[in-house]
Amino acid sequence: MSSKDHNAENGVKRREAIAIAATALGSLIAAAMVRSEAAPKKAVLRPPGALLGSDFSAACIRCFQCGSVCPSQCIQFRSLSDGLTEAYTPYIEPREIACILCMKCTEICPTDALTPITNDPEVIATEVKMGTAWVNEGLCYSFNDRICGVCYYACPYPDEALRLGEGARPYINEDACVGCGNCERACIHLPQAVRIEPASEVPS
Amino acid sequence: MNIMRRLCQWGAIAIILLLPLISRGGALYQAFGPGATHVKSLATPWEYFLYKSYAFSFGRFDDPVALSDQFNGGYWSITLFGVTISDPLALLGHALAGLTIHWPLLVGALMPIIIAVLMGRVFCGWICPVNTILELNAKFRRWLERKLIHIRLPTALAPLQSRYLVLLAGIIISTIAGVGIFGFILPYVGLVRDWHLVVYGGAFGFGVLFMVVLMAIELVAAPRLWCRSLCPTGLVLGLLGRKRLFGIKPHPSRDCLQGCHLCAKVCPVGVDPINQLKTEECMMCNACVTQCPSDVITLGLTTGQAKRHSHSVTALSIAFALVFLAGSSFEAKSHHIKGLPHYGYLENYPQTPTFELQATIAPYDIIVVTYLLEGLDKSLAATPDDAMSYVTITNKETRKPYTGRLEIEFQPKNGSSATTRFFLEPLEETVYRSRVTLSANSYDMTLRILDEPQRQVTIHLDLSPGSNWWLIASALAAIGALSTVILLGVNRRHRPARPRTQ
Repeated sequence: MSSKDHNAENGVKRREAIAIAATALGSLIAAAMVRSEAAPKKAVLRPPGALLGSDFSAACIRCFQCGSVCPSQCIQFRSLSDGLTEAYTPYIEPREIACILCMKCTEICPTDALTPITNDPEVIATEVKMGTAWVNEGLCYSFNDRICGVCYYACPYPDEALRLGEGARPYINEDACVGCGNCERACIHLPQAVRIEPASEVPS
Repeated sequence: MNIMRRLCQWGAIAIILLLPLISRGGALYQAFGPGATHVKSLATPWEYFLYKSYAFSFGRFDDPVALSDQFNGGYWSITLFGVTISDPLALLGHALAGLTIHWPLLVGALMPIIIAVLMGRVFCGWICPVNTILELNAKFRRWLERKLIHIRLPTALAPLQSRYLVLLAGIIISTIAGVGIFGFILPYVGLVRDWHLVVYGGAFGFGVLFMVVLMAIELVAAPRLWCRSLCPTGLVLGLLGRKRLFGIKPHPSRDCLQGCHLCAKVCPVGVDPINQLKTEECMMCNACVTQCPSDVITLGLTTGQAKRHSHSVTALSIAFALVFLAGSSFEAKSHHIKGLPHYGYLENYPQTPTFELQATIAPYDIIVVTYLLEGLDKSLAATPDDAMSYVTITNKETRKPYTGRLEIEFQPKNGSSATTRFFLEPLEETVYRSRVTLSANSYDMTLRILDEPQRQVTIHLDLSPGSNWWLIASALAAIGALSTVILLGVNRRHRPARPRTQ
């Protein structure tokens, strides 16, 4: 009787060991799948103060608080079809709605995914680097002898980040540009002649 | 006590449902300002409703906008009155994925941890919406058995220890993949996420689908499967609360009825309440307290020793994780229209939905904007299948546009013959413009840059109508796989005696 119990116990233990080993193996395979699909894709513009690249997807817990606190509702969320590492992380599509640099998202973020930044134009100018604007001179009206200059009036740091030259041609100061995307949103050319290159673009 | 618990459960659900509405309403209120008259014409009816409700509810306060910033989030991480509280598993996932501890997050998770240490799985029994829904589901199951079909539905009981495997799998995946995985698995997080996505007018995600599958399984084959045997949150909270001070306990002077043991039968998480008062599993759902015929079990401060009990482990949770991972590559996509023009063109001229696609092949940056000329109503369109593509190619090294020869080929995915357009130079400014007739299909749009430096890039152009057949298929596959696994993992020794149907 006791030997039977002993055998049963051994059987249970063996099943437990097998289950644990199988779980570990399965999880390793799954983790490898997640990692492999995280191959560099097109980078997206993150909210201000964001960590870059895989640091961001590790730090973000996908609580959606940045998006719901955003007064301009510019923060959108990626979907599962972008891969598990990217899924439900916040991003900004400046052509739809650009960031107004209110810094509320950085204050509410419960993790270090978004570093808190004070809502002060000078602090923002030095701390925020969401991306960098660049002007496509082939598309820009002003570079093609039609005076425009709309992006200049949209820029929160006019003459510092974006200055107008002769014929209202926009020139970006890449060091001063915070990458908020208001110029891209304002651009009247389609496709946009001024675009934000996200800072999270990690060279592959 | 039970009424209090019900109030807690439904109150928690109400708060969670309200939070995104308040946030969105607050944002709209801030955007349009108080007493705006133009909201109705500019916003969608849903936005107008949110704006009006917010203005009605909070407009009388001194600073209505600041109020909406005080309330945010969901179960995973919630901000109430400006204080952020996070789920302990969010903390765990974050710590494992980044191999760091973020102190504000730890502080935010302290309150749930302390509550769990003092009271165990009280979150499960009193707040978690999944438990609320699945309790109702189980009730419905009993009603079905007794009143409608008069047959006992199969009762597969997966071993309680499966939860350890789910937790183990979560820990391994979070650490190695560098992504906190728990938020994707937990249905109470998924439900809140989906509600948020619905309120903000985007997609609906995996959460609702997962929940529906879970409800179907629990209804048909395995009652209380998730909360008993799979939920890693329940496990962590239970482990934290093994030495809890508050919980179920026997009344000091009352005795059980001879051979009753009703408490063990009604317990949704497989606890034998009168013998194991301090288990990890108990979630203080009150079922045993209310059912006990002689009022032996009560809720209150507890003393005494925890007892452990052993069950076997099956591969159920592994299969569950794998099924989840297989299913997660699908999701209900919203009709994302990228590259929207500005100045509210979308609202004013909805007849030209636009896709914007981008490709980078060094040194070129390529942007393709495609208009479907059919508009919103294909049957009314004069040119229903015509698509206009504007292609801009920029040499990012010289920051100059490419203006040489270009060939564009649209190769349908179904193998039909390709449509090719050849350009000597851009048609207007620096934009190549091609108008081709493309029926609903998926296309590989190949751009061949024929002048130096020569490059070729293929962009996927999806003009196929959205269909959700794979959603249904994946749901069915998940149900099938899970049912198989559950039936394989049935632990028949622990099948409880059920009340007779007649």
